[in-house]
Amino acid sequence: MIAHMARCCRAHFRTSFAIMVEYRATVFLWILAGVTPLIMMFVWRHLAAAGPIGGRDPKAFAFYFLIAFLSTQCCTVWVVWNVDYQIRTGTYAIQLLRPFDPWLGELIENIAAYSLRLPFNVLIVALGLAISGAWEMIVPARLPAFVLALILSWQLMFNMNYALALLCLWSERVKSADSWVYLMVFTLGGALFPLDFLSPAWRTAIGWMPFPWMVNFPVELLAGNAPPLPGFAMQAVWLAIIVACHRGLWRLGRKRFGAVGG
Amino acid sequence: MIEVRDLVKHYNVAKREGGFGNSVRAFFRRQRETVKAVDGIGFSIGPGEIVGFLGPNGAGKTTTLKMLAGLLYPTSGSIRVAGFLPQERKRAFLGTIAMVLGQKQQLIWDLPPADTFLLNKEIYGVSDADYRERLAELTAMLDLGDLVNRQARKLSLGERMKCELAAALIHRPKVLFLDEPTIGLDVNMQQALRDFIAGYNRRTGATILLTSHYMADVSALCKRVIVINQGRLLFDGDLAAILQKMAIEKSVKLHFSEAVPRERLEPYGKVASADGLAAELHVPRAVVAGLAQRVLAELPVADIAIEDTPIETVIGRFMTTGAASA
Repeated sequence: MIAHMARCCRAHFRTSFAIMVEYRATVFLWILAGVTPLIMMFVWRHLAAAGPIGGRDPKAFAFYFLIAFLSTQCCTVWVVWNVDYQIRTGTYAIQLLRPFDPWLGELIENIAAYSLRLPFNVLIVALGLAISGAWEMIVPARLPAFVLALILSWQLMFNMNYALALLCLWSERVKSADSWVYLMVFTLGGALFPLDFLSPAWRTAIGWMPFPWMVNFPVELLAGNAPPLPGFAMQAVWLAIIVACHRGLWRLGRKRFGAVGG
Repeated sequence: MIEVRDLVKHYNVAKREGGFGNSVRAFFRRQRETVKAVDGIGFSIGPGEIVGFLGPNGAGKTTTLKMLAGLLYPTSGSIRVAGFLPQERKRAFLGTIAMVLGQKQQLIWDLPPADTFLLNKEIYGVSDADYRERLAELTAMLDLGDLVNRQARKLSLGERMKCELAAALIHRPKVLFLDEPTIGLDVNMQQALRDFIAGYNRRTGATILLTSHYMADVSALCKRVIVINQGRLLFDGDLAAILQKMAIEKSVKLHFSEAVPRERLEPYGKVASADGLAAELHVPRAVVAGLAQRVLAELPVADIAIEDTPIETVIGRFMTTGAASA
């Protein structure tokens, strides 16, 4: 069974990667569309040129926003667009006819896209770190934990998107909710400003949400400013909640699927 | 192989009349209504049968097929397909069936069909040897040739449909649901697909349930038909019986080299339409050959086409006149 699943996943990856290669221009447009943290880097570096803000000098801002850029790129998923479209037009039926979980199919498609996109993201960040001199702020021992944090950030966003997409079974068109999630990730996640600029009360309140653990946590982890375990625990708890939500939504919504059209 | 009892599917759909005012009202308060897509039908289909599932648009054919394939949950009633409850969507069940939707495709749009075949091979757990054998067989039967290596989006509708069928049959399903498989195809391609479906049924003994609006599909493939309308079963029995009773006319389509008034056409048959340079006559099957000769000799005919009465017309006629007596 496991070997069979592995073969299915491999075949799915091959086809998804081939599709991504067909749409390689779009993949680069997705990168360009996500440069908000880099714009914020220039703004904050300019402001900090007169003197450190909140204890951060221009180099620290460069580090923060370059790594935040990498985190948000890992949180850029389009599963809600895919699934929303498929459910509304009935093409989701084609997925359901196969003995293969559509959720897994979307996950593999995402991995295929990242395998094409991530090398360019890493190159941009490496160049930025080298030019700004922020390279030295990386704590090398934290690199493996940082990679794990990024993977969990991606999983949080992916599954949150999938759960949102399934709401389409109740309410047609849920793509607007996706824009709201991105707004939360960028503001409460820390892609527009470092979250330590907020008051302690705000930080505590936001800390119960999933968003700071998707952007701010990986950045501070790599800088050695955040302890790994509490952050991983929050990521894991939120991931479990979100996955349970979309599995539950599917069980409930399955009966509502209309397999629209001929 | 397929057992259906008292099957019901009701949808709750939003309803709104056109216009700006109604849009504004719907923003605050949506009206909903229940649509009875399938309303208590029952039938049974044995292994290896090819059955035509007929009815006008909106009769509930596709909804029924989707419930049989496990895509839709029935509101009530029971279904058994190859011993499974379709709505449970067990892996073994999904590996037993295939569904081809003429208006939706499973081929990956940007890649050659060969990639979809390979993906299906792994998903359905088809061994390398079986895959090679089946692909060779399907390629020969459907005359796929090099089509499988061209991007799906570059294929014509007919070529794509052939590849759709191949993709759906790689795992050699025991039950095949075909929803309008020949829709939009030219006559030659329709014939090729009909031959293939009949051949596949002979070779594998698969049970096939087919919906089509083309009389030729149904008459070439199905001995038995099930007719439904407004979600209710109207007829379940021999196609020959229903055709003999209802498809008593043929349609003669004429194009003229100069305008012909309607009155001049009336002696030849029932004038369904006439606009001077083109006309359509409905004439009894028994006299169509002689009539064609007369028309060619006596009228300035530039082109003539003799067609079966569309299945919609036959079924429509059946519903208005034959249902009670069937």
